[in-house]
Amino acid sequence: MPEEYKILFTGTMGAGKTTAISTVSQTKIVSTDVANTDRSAVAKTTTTVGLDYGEVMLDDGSVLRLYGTPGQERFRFMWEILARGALGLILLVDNSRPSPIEDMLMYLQNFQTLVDQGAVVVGVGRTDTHATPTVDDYYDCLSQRGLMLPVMTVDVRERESVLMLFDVLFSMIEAASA
Amino acid sequence: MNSLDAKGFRERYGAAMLQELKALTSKNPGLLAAQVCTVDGFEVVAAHRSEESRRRLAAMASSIHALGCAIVQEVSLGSYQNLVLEGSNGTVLMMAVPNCNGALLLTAVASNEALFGRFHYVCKNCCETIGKQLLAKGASA
Repeated sequence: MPEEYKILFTGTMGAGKTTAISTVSQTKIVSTDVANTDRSAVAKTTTTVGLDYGEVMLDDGSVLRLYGTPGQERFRFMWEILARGALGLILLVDNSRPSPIEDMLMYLQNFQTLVDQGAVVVGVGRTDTHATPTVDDYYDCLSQRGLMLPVMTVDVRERESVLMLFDVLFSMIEAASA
Repeated sequence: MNSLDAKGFRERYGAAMLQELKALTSKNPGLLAAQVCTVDGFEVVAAHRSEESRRRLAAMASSIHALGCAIVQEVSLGSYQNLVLEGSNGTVLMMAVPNCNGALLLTAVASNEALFGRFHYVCKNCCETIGKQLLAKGASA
């Protein structure tokens, strides 16, 4: 019987979680975007307040069920709900924000169980317009905390770029379970 | 009107909304709390409950409201009207406030002391009254 795996996307508001899931999903995505009334935080017209959901079918018939969390900390309760049963986490970081490395650390702290399992990959976006911090800066920060997690640049609008995150994540999960 | 944030709604319509919520909770036995929040989870006004609880409830209400909308859409049941959560000790009711382009939600909490039919009726009336106030003040602004 085909397996089903739950993969979680998280990251700050505007990091590209909804776009990433839309880019790779082979089914119509479930979106819970509503009007964003807090433009002081991010100048987006809409924001996810429940979850995003999409699916990717693998060659062996397995299905990746993709869940995107809301980004804002006031939706922390949804992070806890959505993390239950997740096989792995893709953490998207927006390099154009004031303190993207601190953003990364905050989310890692909130998904500690998946971090402990080594089932996390960090995707850094908007590096084309904001070259720093570099990927090496992220690695330095993680290694100072004893964390060995992959960090890579990503363009969530590009399917291959998002699929690369899956490849790396599954490599991490396989290595952890070996 | 729908470009207002929670603070904007509070400053412009908060006093009248709060009056309605207080009337709702004080005149109806078993009705424990009521709150108006934005669809993206910010409290506008609330009657009863602690501040922290109100903040969390506003965020949770927006999430479940959005999920409710998605489910109603998924099964082609038209437009979302309201959501009822039944606990062993009471009921939570969530409704979209009219006349604000879907920007606001009413959440009300009742114990088992409240009759559900009446609970639903008074909440719907409260929503419509707030909606009329929004329409009147928006039109005169």
